[in-house]
Amino acid sequence: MSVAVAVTVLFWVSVATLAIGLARRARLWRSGREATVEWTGLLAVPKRYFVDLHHVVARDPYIANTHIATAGGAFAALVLVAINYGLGLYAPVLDWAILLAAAVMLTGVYFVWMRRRHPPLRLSRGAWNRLPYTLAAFALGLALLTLVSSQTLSAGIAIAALALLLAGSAELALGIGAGGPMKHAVAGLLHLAFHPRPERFAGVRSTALSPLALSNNDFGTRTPSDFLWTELLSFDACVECGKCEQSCPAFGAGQPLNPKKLIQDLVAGLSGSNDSAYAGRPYPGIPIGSHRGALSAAIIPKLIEAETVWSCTTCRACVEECPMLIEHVDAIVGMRRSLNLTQGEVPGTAPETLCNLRETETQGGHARTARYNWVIDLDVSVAAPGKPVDLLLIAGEGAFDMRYQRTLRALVKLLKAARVDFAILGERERDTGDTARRLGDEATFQALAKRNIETFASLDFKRIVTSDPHVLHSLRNEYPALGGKYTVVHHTALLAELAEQGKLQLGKSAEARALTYHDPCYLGRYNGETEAPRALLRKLGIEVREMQRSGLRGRCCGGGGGAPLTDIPGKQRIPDIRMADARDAGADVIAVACPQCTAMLEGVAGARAEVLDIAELAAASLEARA
Amino acid sequence: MSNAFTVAVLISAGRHPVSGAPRACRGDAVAMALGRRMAGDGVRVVHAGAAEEPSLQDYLALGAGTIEVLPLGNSGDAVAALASHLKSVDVILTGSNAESGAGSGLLPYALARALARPVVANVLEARVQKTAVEGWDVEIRQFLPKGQRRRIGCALPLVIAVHPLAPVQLKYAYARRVSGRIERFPETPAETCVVQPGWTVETASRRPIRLKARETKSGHARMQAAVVAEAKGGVVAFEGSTVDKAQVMLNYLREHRLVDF
Repeated sequence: MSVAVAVTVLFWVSVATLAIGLARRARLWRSGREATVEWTGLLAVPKRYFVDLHHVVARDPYIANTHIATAGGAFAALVLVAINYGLGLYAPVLDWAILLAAAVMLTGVYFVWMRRRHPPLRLSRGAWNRLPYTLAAFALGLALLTLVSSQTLSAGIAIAALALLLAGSAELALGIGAGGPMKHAVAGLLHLAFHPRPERFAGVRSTALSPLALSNNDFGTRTPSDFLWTELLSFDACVECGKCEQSCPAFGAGQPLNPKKLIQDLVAGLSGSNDSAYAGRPYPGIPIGSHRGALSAAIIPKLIEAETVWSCTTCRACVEECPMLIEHVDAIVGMRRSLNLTQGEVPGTAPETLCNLRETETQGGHARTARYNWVIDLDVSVAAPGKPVDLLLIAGEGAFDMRYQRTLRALVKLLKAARVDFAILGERERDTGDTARRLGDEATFQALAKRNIETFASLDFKRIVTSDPHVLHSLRNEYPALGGKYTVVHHTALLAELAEQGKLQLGKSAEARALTYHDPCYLGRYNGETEAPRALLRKLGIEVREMQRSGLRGRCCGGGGGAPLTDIPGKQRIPDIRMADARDAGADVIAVACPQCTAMLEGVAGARAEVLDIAELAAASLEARA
Repeated sequence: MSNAFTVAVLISAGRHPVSGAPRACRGDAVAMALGRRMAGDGVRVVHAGAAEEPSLQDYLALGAGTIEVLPLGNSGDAVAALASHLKSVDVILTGSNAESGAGSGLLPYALARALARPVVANVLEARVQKTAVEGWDVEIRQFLPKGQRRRIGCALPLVIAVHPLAPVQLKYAYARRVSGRIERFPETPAETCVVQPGWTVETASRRPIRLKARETKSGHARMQAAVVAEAKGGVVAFEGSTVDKAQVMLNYLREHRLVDF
């Protein structure tokens, strides 16, 4: 038998192996819940891969170029082998092309090997460490066979080359069926086709949680098979690069959460195995090897501990960093929903807050009439049916906090200075239910949302302005699914707009200290608004000293997702880490734009930068002018 | 869970003190959680009043399972209705105070009198156990002021009024609220014929204030009183007739200007 025929046989055996493996894996994915998918997504895979995915990967140019060479070379080589050997053409010209592709791949593999010699801590080892060798075997095997096939080939070399090719092919072909590292190639491409949030590829910052059909007894994700099948598929796309764990504030603070491990645990649950094969960093404080799951077995606590899902601040830093575009936060909230709605198992003071939301429609158990006590001397009109107004001001829960009332008063002063026609919601204002939703209490969220939508329907206004990005996010992005569509602006965006139009005459800020700006997650990552606050600060003549992590990649203050309520212990507090970021940037003032960030950063003990809302800085400049 | 003893919890319509929104009365919810700890799913949850009461939904979410509702009709006599309904129940748990209505906290006592049973108030924990002879008794941990606790043994049947600080965790689950059931019982014919006064119900403007003698002691003495149980002043009137004892109390009240006659 000639060597060429052997390659043909090997090729088709590999294709068959891959197909069988894919069919087996697909059966596991399909045990998830039915999802509406566009099959045309398959056609969009090249664009999604080269534009959307590569956009994230390119933040690390070393591995981006390495991957282009390795995967590009391998893909080209496979296509050429399919044509030349799969179809039995055996054309020498194509052999040269295969040799070229193999050479490119081998170059890429060299850099993979280089990185794997001293890998950063975020990378998983284990099976991933053998990848440079098996990939090199594949490329070398191909190169040897094509290089010497035309000449006389000694049997020894031929057998050696075939053996190398076999080893490499096994890695590629068995990956998907056996759950090896190379499953990321197949699952990743399919994930791009059937992504649970396809609108992300249309340039939309898709961040709203999807509503639960409570009337159909849909109470969240109890078992792996309660995920959408597209979500199960997405977990298999994970390459364990650890960008998520590097950016996770809870992981950084030593709380028992590691987004990468979470996804790998869900993969273990999907395939009915345990986590002993996982070779990355663990959840801080929870040893590896004791967790096991199955498709239809409860995830918590056998597969994942409850503290893990309650540590998340829902800041979406992991989602922002994930090169495979996996949606970690959706998975976490899904599991929280099940715990909350079916068992009422919520840690810390969160049950108290949820109770308050149900019974008083405020988080702190306050009277709704007390929300606007701080405005009593400012002569602000209260919205009422039949009284048209341009802007509706919603203060949010921060209105009960004495520190944050200073910010709100500054905002009201600015609105008055700009002669804006606005009104407060007064005692008609209820909590938006954002915190309840992040804590998995979908029932309370939907009840509050329904009542709020009724209230808004009775009023006549053009736009809503709020200083709370959490209110902004739920009203702008999450209420539409429940029938409430509003134009919502953040106070920084409104003030920047008014200043731009000349309606608000800001002076130069007297702030001489070095200042940095902390992006709220729910304004930046959730809504993409990073420019307006900076423009406003520039207008005030303040130069922002950026922290290392800022803008869309900013670090969370620790206040989101109900995390201050569940209060899962860690080694450090997240706001302390953020304050250290500000110190490293040499800032004496942190400008903020969110009541949660204000409260969290103000709670940092010891010598620290002063926390001032952008509205406070702007209002101070008015006084300086006057 | 099959128990050789039966446990029932009485629940009332709660109202939030700030918003007035219907909710599970905290004390009753705590009693229910204690009842579930004693008898698991076997605990019976009973409400005397309207089946449409919105706060009952909260009890379902807190794990009531099935709520038995006894309509009160015109008589409004919850004690009589409950007494005839719960005659055969060994342990009856109640909260210490209702959040709406009279809220006098008298119901456990009235019910115990109607059923001729002992009543134990301010209960933090209760555990039913088999006695050496035969049958069951209850081991109770009772709340006393200043961090003191008392352990009591009591035979069945009895009525237990649970202290609001009983160490239980309330777990509100929406799915249970949906799956729970409310079972309506026919109105029990009132056995006692009481002439009902023509009451009109209105929201109380203020809670009654407990009469208390003004502290005239030094800071050190107050600290002593707070940490040492015996260091409390006052007179214990063991001697004399009831009139003498009443006189001692009256003197005390006059001395501290708590009455003016």
